[in-house]
Amino acid sequence: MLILRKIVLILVLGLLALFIQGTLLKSLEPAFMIVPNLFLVLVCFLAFYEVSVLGAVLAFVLGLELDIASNLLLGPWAASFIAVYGMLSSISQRVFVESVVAVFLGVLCSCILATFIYLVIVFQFQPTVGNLLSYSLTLMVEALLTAVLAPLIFAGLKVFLLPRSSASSSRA
Amino acid sequence: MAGAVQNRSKVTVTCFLLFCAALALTSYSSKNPSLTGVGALITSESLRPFQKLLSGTSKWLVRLWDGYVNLIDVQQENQRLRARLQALEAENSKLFEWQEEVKRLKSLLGIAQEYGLQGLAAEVIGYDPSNWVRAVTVDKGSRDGIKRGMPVIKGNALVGQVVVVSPNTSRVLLIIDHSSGVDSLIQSSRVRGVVEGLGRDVCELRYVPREEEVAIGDRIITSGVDGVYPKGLMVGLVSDVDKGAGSLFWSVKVKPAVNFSRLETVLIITSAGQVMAEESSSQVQDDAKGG
Repeated sequence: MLILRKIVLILVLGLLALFIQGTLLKSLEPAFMIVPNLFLVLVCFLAFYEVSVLGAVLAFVLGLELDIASNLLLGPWAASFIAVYGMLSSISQRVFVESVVAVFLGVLCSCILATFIYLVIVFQFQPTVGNLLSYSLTLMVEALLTAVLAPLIFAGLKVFLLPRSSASSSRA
Repeated sequence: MAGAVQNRSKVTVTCFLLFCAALALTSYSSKNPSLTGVGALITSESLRPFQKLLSGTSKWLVRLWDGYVNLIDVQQENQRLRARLQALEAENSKLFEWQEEVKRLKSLLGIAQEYGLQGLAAEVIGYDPSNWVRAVTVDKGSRDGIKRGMPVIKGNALVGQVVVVSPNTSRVLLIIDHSSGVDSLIQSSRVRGVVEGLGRDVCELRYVPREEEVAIGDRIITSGVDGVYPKGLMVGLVSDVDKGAGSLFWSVKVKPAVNFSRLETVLIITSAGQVMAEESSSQVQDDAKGG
């Protein structure tokens, strides 16, 4: 039951992130505003607190959600997120993830890595103008914005997704 | 300890398999673009009520701000706009005369044609959630007669093309997206090129040979050759020209005519009819005698 609750909550949070990123935030500012990648924050949260096959599958599904919403290709964000999940989950048990600094740095590096993998895959399968260097400024701003918001979002997610017992119990 | 190691191995293997699955899916979807269509349709339909609600609320707040709070310098702006209006009316009168003259000249040459554009106004209710795709969602769909591939304009300027259609919404790929390409020409010199998006508020006109003349401020319009966009739509103005060393072509930057940061309503062209105006022989003879 707890597992089912987690799955449903993660998927609903994914839809909420879609709404916030695609409509709410971009309606406040011009179309060129760089929005934080809330999906990636969810993936990082899973990597820190749900190191299991379920966590990997949920990270994959979150990537597919974003791919479907973007309607570009089906798979690049899924591949990026699963790669980030794998990397982050492998070190999460050696890091004190309750620290704000750890969350900030983890999400910052994850955002850069995920976006880099995403752009490399998209460039391989679709003709595009520009190169990775031309997107570097957008990438850095997005990563910083996402990393700054991550600790706040993590605090909220812990309330909804983790049992009242110690947060590290699900990482054991 | 052993349990943790085993769990770790399972997670690693799962991640590897899912990564390979994702790459395979990407490869398959690049060859079958319709694969994303069903999911996009479900996503856009489910988000539409919330997007409409938010869009309406934000517009109400903007109207409240503009109507009651932001009244500073309204009188001065009013006077400035009145003067501008008078100047534009005079210019419009001159242009009308020129238009009539062009019609007469075309009829004498026997190539009288008229392009009729029919369109449907749509409101922008959402943007793409990622920072790497420049697309918007509008509140008209297949129930309103919208089809994939229809061009989208604002005024006489090009906005983009409909790429996904659901019953009540449509997704428009903007010309500033990095996967967008518009066959265009420089209005003054009629030199052809392709305007491609760069993912920001500037595009690039490519494949303009170095021996052609290009100047900052040149107007870029659609050529109509690609069969997607009607001919003559304004794409933008040349903002920068760079004669890169060792390159066969100019590097021409184009500032789009549409302000994409303030895109609220657009017009989806539902038919670009082309009517051959019949020129009666008597009219031609009369004009020839009079000319």
